[in-house]
Amino acid sequence: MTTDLSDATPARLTGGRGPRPGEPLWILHGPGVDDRFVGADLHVRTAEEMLWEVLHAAGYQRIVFSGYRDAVYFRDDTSRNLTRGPGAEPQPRRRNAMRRFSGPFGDAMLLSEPPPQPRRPSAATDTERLRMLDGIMVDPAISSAVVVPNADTWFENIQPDMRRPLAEMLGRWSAGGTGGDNVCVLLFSKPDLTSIVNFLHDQRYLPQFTDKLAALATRRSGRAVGHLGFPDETELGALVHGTRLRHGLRIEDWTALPHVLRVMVAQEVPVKTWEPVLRRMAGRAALSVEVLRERGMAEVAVADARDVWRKLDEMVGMTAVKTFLTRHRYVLEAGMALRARGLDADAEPAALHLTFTGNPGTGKTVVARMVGELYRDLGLLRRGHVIEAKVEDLVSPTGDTARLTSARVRDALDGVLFIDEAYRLSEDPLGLGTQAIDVLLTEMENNRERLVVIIAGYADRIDDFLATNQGLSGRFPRGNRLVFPDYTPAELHEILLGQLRRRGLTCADDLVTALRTITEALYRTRAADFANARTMRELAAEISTEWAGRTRLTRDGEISPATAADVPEHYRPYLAEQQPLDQVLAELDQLTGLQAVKDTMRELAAVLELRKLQEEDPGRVAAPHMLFLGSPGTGKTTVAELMGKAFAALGLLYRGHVVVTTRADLVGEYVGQTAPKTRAKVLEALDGVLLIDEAYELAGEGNDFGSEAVAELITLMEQHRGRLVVIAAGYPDRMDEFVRSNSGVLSRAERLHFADYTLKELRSIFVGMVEAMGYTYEPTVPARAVRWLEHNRDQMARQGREFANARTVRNLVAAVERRLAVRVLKLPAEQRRAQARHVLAVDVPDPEAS
Amino acid sequence: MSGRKRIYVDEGEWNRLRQEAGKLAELKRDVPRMVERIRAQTQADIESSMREVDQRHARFEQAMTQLSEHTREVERETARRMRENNDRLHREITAQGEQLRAETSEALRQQQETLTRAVDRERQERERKQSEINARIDALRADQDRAERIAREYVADAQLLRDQVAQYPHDRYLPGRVAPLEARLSTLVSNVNSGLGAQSLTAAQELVQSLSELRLDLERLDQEWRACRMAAERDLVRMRELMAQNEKIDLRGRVPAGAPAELPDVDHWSRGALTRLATEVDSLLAQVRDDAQPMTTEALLAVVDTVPEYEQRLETVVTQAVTAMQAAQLRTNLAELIADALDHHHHYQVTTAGFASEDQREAFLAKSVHHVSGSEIVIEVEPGERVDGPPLVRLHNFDADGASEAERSARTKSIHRNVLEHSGIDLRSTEEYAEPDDRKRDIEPLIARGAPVSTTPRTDEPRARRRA
Repeated sequence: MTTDLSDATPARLTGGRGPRPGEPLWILHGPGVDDRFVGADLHVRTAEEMLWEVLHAAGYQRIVFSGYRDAVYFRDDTSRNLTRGPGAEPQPRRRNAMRRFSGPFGDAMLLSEPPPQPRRPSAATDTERLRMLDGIMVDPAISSAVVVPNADTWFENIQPDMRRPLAEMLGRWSAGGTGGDNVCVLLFSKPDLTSIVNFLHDQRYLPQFTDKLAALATRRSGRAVGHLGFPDETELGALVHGTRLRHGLRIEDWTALPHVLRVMVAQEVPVKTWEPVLRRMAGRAALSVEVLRERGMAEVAVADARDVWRKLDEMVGMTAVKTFLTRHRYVLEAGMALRARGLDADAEPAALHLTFTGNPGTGKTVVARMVGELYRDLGLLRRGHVIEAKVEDLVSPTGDTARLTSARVRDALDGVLFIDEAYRLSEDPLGLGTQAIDVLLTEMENNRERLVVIIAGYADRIDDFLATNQGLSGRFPRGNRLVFPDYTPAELHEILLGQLRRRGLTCADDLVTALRTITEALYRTRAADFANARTMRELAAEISTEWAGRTRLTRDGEISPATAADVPEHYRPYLAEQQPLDQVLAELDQLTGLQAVKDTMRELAAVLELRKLQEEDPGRVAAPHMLFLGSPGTGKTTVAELMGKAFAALGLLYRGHVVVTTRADLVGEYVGQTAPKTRAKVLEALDGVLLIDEAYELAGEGNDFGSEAVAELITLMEQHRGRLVVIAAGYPDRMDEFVRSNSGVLSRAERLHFADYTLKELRSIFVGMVEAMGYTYEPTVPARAVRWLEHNRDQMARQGREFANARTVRNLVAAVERRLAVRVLKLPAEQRRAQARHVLAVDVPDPEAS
Repeated sequence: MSGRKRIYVDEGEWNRLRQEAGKLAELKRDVPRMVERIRAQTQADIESSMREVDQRHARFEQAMTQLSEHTREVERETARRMRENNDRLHREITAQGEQLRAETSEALRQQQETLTRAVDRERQERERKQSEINARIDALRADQDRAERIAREYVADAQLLRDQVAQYPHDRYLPGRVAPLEARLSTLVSNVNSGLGAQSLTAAQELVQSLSELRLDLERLDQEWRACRMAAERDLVRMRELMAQNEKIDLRGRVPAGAPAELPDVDHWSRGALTRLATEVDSLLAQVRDDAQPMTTEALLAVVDTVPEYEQRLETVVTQAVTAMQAAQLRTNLAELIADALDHHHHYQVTTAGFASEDQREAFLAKSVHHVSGSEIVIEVEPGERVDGPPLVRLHNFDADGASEAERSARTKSIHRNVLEHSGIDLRSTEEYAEPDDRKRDIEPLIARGAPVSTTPRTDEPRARRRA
């Protein structure tokens, strides 16, 4: 049996395009099984006619069909006669006359014929059907093909008592119990072989046959399964030309015809729908995308058919991508040229599957689409569309993974399956992803000519992923890896301005400048998940929103450009002028006491500046995490704020703000609350300082969630290295214990010791506070305050409690203020104002009374 | 499992078809030809019979010259009028034959009445004349010699008339009437010879009168008999001719499609009923014609009365033949529909077919083969148990590898449906035997000429006689 393809074979018949020698089954499936087909000869055929021609061209002498209405029927006399005995056929039927027999009145039919009845299904039973088909299949004398056009219905509706014999018969055929090269062609409307296998499995009476089909599904060689999808460009082109020649259909623009055909293909509409549409169009309108759209036949939009390369050239940056694709194209073209001349006899065809590594927003999806178009233009894929899949689209926690993955693959057939963060498949703790990988590998093998897979994600994780599976690494060779670097600040700036232009906005110079600053800052502070162009797109959208809200453009109003005022609030910190280090240190100097702290901080600033000088990439120098050790009220928060400013001034933190937290801010009450709570605070503190007061409170006992907060915190500190400074504050002794028990990042933290204030310092703090509040005071007031503070400090020490230093001073000031208020309000009204800002000694509480 | 299916054709449906087709069985009557044939076969008889009568009249007229004057006076007028009667009868019979009137026996009765009335009138006339003569003779009675001479003349007349009477088959017509008259004549002759003539005059007168009346009676009866015989003969001959004319059935233009060139034979299709009927008519005709043992007038009249019945029987025979043909045709029709159903829906193809023993009156057999599986079905359509009863259909399933009962029942269902769709005949079937009849598998020998026919016994009598 030859497998020469006839003119009738449609291009969309993929996979097994004809019966295979030695294989008694040829399965055809897909939405096209009941469509009409246009062959290379521009003829439109029904599925049965098409199959007849294909089988006839393949050398089958007898082609038999079996349907629901007619158990067995023929489409040609030869097949019919081969199924009948020798001898003349009866004459065609005449009214009132017999065809075969003759009686005393010759061929007269005396029985009067009633009016014709509506056609009913054949009364032939499944038993007979099976015996007939079996007889044909086992006959070695005549090479025969049995076609079952609606196999779904056929298997579903077989008489219950005939199920066992049918199963037995199919089993016998599958085991080679057929005559010669006889073949049974089964047409299923199911989209893929897996669905057929599932369908047959659900029928429950065909276990052996189901297994056989399942085996066909996984078999690497020998295509016994063909797919009939929706018509492709070749076939629709033939239909258009056929309609043009036969019915005078005009083409609006010949140069646009390829695009029109692509639009038609994208609609995924069968030929049987297109045929009447085009015929009606003939003589009324010329074929164009617009006319198709008017008729509701172009609902799926297709990007214009501009050349892939031109599109690529227009994209910002992407030099590496452009270089790779150009080279990849030459590799593929060379491979095809060599194959066409038969010079690559044993060489594996160039691999088409690709790996894209890089951060989000670096244009991977866009480039995947281009690769699809490139492959289609090269004739390597029929459609070249891109189906994007996330891990969630492939893996199902309810045991549906194989089906989900297969379904995705079906959608992507003849195009590209783009799997973002593919490594998450192998990182799945339940192992469901592994199942998806297996299905994927099988499908990639089975659909070698119909499926291109592109996996994308972070480079290091992709490496790990490919290393987990030999099959994977074989299919995604290193040479097919395309690295998407982050966009440079200049590219980001260009992309952002381009986005704004596309939104119809003109940018004032100040905005352009501001955006340059912002893009530079974003680039500098970017983390591993920096979303590159996507962030630019989002920023452009936000600017656009701000601009609209500000300018309140009316329909007829004048369009004013976007300005720096339109920069969204949360991007403004990037624009904030940084205080110079000197200024920050001067501020530090003004603090009372804390000499050791001031000294350490100056040294630290100097060291960091030195590091920046030493490093080639100053961006790699990171601000250190710190431990502030000291009693309450010794100025830790104040120093932390200055520290943030100092790091910002040094360029080590972008914002330098301080987020003060305690255990309550980080630890949740219930399972699962802690990590998000911690993460939220960290994100709030990103590019600044996270101050955790009494950090040792996190080290709870037993099943406390505090340890979870610590673990999460450590992870995030690692992840956002360089963008976050964590300062743990607290009593020195307890802090030591905490740091020891959570060895890690904090153990290397810089330690700053905050000594308790001396009485002199306390006095000066008190005076500073009162003055800062705008009060004047009697000369005896400070001394009286110091007396009170001293008494309080001694009292606390006696009670074994910590003296709160500046905080106690602040409390004292507050108490003084209350007493002042009570005293002044007792004065006659006219005197009150004059006394309102003057503190008397009586306003300071008596130490003995506290 | 049922190897053989027996399919019944609904009887009501069957009768409807049969009635439609019954119009074909009309008798053929070629009247001019029939008249010609009757004339040819009966004219000679009529002529010879009439000649006989004429000769007898002539002989009587000759004899009359020797009669005494007084007797001759009475007989002369009678003889003339009787001859006129006879001539009229002759004319009537001839005309009757040409008109082919159906009511023969009625005509005969009218003739008899006419004749009887004429003879009665004649008798009254003769009695009147006789009494005139008697009065004249009474006047001479005193003269002994003249009386004796007259007596001798009457005896001579009596002897003459006795000779004339003897020419009629009087023993057949009026048995026992002649012998007493003969005895009286002998006595008279011996009395006259003994010289007692004058005393015997009255007795001699009476004897002549009796013999004369007897001859008149005989003449009437003879005329009656001859008319009856001629009518019976002619009716039977007509009957035979009608049979001859309907020996073949001419269906041209009466059936939907062309009938075969050779006209079908009624006797063949009626299985000899026509021959049997003809033999009956022939033997009756021979009896009528048998002069050696002539039939009585009553018997002849009875024959005449029977003839319409024969005609009806002939009609029945022809109907029977047409019905049989039609049944044979319907058997092929049914087989055709079944073969169609088997072919169209089940891919059984007819390989061999024909009537058992090549006799169209027998069962029709068709063998159909499923070439892929090798299964075979023999369709057998048998004539009904009565000749006009519906046919019986049997299907003999010879399955290659034993089909299931479900398959057979589906096939039967399909056949029913196809037959119903194409003919309106509703076949119902019942299971007959579990296994097919192996003798029916190879139908070639069954349909060969001369094969023994194993038909079920059937009655040839139609269930109800119908007029076409």
